[in-house]
Amino acid sequence: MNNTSSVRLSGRQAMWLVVTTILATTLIFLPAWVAAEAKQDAWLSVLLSMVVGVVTAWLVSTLGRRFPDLTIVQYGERILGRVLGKVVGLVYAAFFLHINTVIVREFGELLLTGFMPETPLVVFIGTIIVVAAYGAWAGPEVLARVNDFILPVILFLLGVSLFLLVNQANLAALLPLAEEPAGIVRGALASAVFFSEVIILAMLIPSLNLRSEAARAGVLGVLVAGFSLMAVTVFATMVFGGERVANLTFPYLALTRIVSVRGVVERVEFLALGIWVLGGFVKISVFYYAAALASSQWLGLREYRSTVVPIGLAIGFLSVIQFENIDQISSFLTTAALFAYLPVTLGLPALLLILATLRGLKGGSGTAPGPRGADKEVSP
Amino acid sequence: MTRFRRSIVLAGLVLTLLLLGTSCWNAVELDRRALVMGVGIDKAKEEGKIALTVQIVKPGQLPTPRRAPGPGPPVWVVTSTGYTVFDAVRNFVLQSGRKLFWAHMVVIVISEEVAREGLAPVLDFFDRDAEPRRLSKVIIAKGIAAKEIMKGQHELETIPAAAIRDLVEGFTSVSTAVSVNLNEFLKRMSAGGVEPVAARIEVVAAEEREKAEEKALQSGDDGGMAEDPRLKAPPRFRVTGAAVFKGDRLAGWLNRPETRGYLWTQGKVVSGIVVLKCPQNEKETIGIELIRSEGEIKPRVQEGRVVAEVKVKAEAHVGDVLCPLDLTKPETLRLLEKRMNTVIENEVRAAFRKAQEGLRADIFGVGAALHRSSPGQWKKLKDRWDEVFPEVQVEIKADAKIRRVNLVLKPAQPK
Amino acid sequence: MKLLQASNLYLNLAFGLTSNLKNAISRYPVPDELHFLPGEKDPVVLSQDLDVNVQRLQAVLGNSSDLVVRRFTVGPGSVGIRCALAFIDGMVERESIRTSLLNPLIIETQKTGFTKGLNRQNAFDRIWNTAVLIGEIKEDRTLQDVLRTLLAGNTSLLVDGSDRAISANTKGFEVRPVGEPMIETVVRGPREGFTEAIRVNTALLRRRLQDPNLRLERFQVGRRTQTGVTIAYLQGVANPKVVEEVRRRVRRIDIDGALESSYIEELINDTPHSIFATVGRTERPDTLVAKLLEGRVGIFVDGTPFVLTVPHLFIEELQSPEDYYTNPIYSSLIRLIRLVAFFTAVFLPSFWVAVTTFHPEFFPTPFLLTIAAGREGVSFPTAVEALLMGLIFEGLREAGIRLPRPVGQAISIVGALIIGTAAVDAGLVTAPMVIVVAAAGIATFLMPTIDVGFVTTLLRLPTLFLGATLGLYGILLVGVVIMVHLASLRSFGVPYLSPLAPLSVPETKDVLVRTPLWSRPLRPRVIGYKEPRRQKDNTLPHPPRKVGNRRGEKTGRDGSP
Repeated sequence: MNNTSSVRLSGRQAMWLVVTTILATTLIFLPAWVAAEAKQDAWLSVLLSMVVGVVTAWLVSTLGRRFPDLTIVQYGERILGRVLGKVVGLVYAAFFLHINTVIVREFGELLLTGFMPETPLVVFIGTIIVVAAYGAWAGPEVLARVNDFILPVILFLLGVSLFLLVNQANLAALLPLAEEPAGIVRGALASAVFFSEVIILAMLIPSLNLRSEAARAGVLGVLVAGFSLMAVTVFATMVFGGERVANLTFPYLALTRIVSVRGVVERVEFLALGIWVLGGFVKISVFYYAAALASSQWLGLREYRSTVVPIGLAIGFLSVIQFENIDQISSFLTTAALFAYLPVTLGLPALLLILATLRGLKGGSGTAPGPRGADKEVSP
Repeated sequence: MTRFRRSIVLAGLVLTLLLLGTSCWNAVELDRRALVMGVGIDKAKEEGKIALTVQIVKPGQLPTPRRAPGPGPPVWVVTSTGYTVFDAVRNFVLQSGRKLFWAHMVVIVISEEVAREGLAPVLDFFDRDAEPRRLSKVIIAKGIAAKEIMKGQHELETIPAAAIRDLVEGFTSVSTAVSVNLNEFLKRMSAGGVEPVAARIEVVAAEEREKAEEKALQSGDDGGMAEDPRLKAPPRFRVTGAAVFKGDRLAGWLNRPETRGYLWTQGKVVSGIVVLKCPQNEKETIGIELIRSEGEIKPRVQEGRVVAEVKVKAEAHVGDVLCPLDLTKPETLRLLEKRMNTVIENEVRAAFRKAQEGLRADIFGVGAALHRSSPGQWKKLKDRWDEVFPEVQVEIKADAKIRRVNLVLKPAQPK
Repeated sequence: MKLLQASNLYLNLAFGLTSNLKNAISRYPVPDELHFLPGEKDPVVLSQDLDVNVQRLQAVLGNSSDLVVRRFTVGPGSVGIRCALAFIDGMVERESIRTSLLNPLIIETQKTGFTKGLNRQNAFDRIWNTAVLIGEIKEDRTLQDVLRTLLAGNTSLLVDGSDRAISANTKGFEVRPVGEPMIETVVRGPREGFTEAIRVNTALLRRRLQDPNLRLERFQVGRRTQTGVTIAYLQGVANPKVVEEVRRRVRRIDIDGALESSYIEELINDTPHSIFATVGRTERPDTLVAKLLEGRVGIFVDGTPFVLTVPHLFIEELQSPEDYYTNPIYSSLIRLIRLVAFFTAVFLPSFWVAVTTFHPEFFPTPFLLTIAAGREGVSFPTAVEALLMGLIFEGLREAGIRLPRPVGQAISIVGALIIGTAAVDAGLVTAPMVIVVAAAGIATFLMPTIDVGFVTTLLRLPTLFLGATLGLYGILLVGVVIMVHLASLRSFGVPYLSPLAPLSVPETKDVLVRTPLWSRPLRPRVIGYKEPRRQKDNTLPHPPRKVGNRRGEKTGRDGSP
């Protein structure tokens, strides 16, 4: 940010976007899934699975340094050739679309279960997609600016809600430490998918004003989000005990509902609602943008905005019909997603990096639509 | 661009129409909600059915600054039955017309009968549904139907259920009762190596009524009995002692000293009075006010037996002295501290005796403590912990400190 | 794709009306360029014959009753040259015409020196050089120029035998004196406000900013009103690109008239579709100086006391000049209160509706019971209640502004009585709703600029709608949409939400709080980045440092023992 008209993301903004993207919706339910495997050691699992995020961030940012002006869809084609590259591009477009359908569905499910049980799910899904379409259409720069407000709010609300629970937290509930290492690893695998969401950097790097900061942004983002998730997990374990956390659908929501400071400060679950809607918006918009950009680049369109509407319809449709109930989502995310998502977020980037290094491929600017289409620069 | 704009406009229009046309799925005006303040759970007369009794606020009867309260009690007590709790809950609509709103419910009173058969199926609704809070107190009614408790009134509070909640929370000033909310109950229920407890409520007024009736019979003045206002008064309740569970089934009760013995081990004695005998005269007494306590259970496995070391630390003031005692001498205070240690140890021992021999329920969390300190040992013992716990050897170490004697050094004595 | 096509079909049906309208408008041709004289594309050159010129002038102005033409002769009798003074009555200073034009031209020229060798050829130059005692004169060669001269309040001197005319500045119309600002009032601070006369206003600025780098550039806007527009900026401080952009946008304006600076504002706006103002306005010279010192550009418009400033950021809407004249800690507190008030004004009624109808679990139990007790027997749904009260409130507010002052006060008393007690007693609305709507209204009054007050009022309605249909979720959605909208705005290249988004922590010293002057040695970087430094470092004031010896301790620097 050295003058009035920096039209791109700074490294800090990219990092904040990564934090919100990983943290926002994950924090509400993650402790349950991890605790199901690791019991009171859930927080160790979260710590461990941060490694996945760090590795993904490193892979993507290293690739980004080789191809600073290209997204993963574009350099995938550069590295693998036209046919294979198109396949990889399709995989990424589909991945961003699919992960968003899952997030949107979760988004609606929590609002439905936790706050407004009689409202049809379609209403939540429809409204958030329209609003997220606006966000995606406005582009990463605007999203980053909005996130500059939202992330501090999220962290503040999170901090306040956890602080209010100090009187109910029982440190002894975290003992015995590292009881069952296998469980910790299984728990880490269950949460690995969420940390690998840092893959969105692969679509954001061309929008950075300093591409060299991508690695820092990715790794720091994963760490900040990871430690926040760890804090939530620790508190959930301390308040509910390792066994019971595993049985809760939305442990963080349950945490805010149980806050009671001398009977005066109670009923603060609107904190969870605020985090959920604000953070959920950023997360859904970011993936929405990634899906729109990836698909338009795959189709060779000039403007990513032209795919915003069809992508939105697809997300809405798929998120409704894909799952029958909330248990399918959680079982998908903790098991099937490992095999469906991790190869895309970890395996493919690793493969691309190895091939690019071997073949010595580098640089080059893409002719396909860049995120710069998003800027309505008027003057200076 | 314009195309996109138009699509957005279209989407906005469709949404607006959608919202306008079918709005307010969840919007319910306050005067269409029935606010439940407390619920009592009994077994219904019909086999296999549950009877719920709820206290619903009548907002029109509440005193407001602008308006005097209407006639009659400010709550409406209704009973409904069903095969499950939720079934019964829904059946309320048949009687109330308004949908019940559970978010402000403060107490769940469960009859002894239901508690003996297991609470897990009964409490699931309150755990699962989004409206009830896990902060509601779990209370077991001893020797009386939960319905009767719900029908009760309180002289000071307008909402009886809130009064019951206050009774439970008031345990801190005596430390001879427990206060357990739904979260704590379920947490202990689902954890290994520790059993839940719950508050116990019983009737006071019923005994008084009996006495009054007896008196009336003795005097032969049966004509004035009906006019006696005390007889018309609703039953009065007392929260004291504790209900002990094994799993989700009620196993038995702790009396007041045993309850405090249990609370010592948990470090939950906040305040309370310890009565000691005077050193010179065993008939006269001294009241010591507790101000702080810590309790810790350290289990270890020694020669194949589990030994639980219970450490209790307490701090206290001298509250009242009924005998001429010179509190300026340090020895006197030391003597009192010693006697206090004995009292604490006796209470803790009594609690353990009841839990180990009578109820065979590990309410102290000895097993959980063992799990924390030596997970390996616990793994071997946890499957037969029910048999191991009654055999646990208890070592109690109490350490009481009397910090101050308040405003008087020696009590005033007639000369 | 089918769906898209179908949707476009319906949209075309719906938008057909507007596109027809567009066709209808485009049927009227737009003149290629600005024709000051109707019917004459090219400048009409003045004639050498005085009579022709005068007749033309009178004909063009349609023998207007306020046109004064004074014919006279310069020089003695026969050799005298015929001349004519033309001016518009009421727009000139008669005294200066008499002493500086008529007197020298008629009396002084009788003296021999002047008339010697005077003829039709040299008369114009002689008069120009020696007979016009006015500071600012210029030469007009066309009829259009002469007309401009007259209509601006200047006097035109036509000389027979010359196809040129002298334009002398004799402007002297009635001007409202410099008075106290009406809207941006302060407790402590200058009491002078801008007036309607642009020259007075620029002088007010100059007096406070005696910097040779202050640039004032004049433009003319309005085909018919010929309104003077002057842009002001500090050379070397303001971003030259922004200045150039302002010039470009002002030149682009092509309209028949500009009566107020809002005309200019609407036509140079970055965000014509937004309800948020991306052009600032002030009626205080001191505020304008502060903005120029930060590197902003000011735009004066003749005929209005409101001066525009660009680039304009959202935070400026929540700042008052008073903030800089009071204790920094106090003004920081006031700024926080204003921020809270902004959210209160926008969200409180909808929040109330959402929580009472959707989420009564968020209220503490005793509070909920009190509300529920008041709610019994009220006939309208809460959302309708809020809408009704809001309408009544806005109506009363508008009535209070438009009505003559004595009646306006009566309105507020009636309003307070009816709303405050009668409506509640009649069971039409609940008492808390009255408080909620009133609190939102008061919060609107806390906004330091009128525009942001309008914004809060406008935003209240959609928030209320979504709050009543989707509860807190709906309100959060509206909040998100507003945020995205604000974040996508720019004012002359500067992101509208900066320095909050994109966040720049050092810049926030003058945003939500105001830190003392000595803590801010630099200008806001987003605006005046060219020459960032405003003052030396370490300007923290402190008492004179004492010298180590005893004498120094005793006397100090003041010398007082």
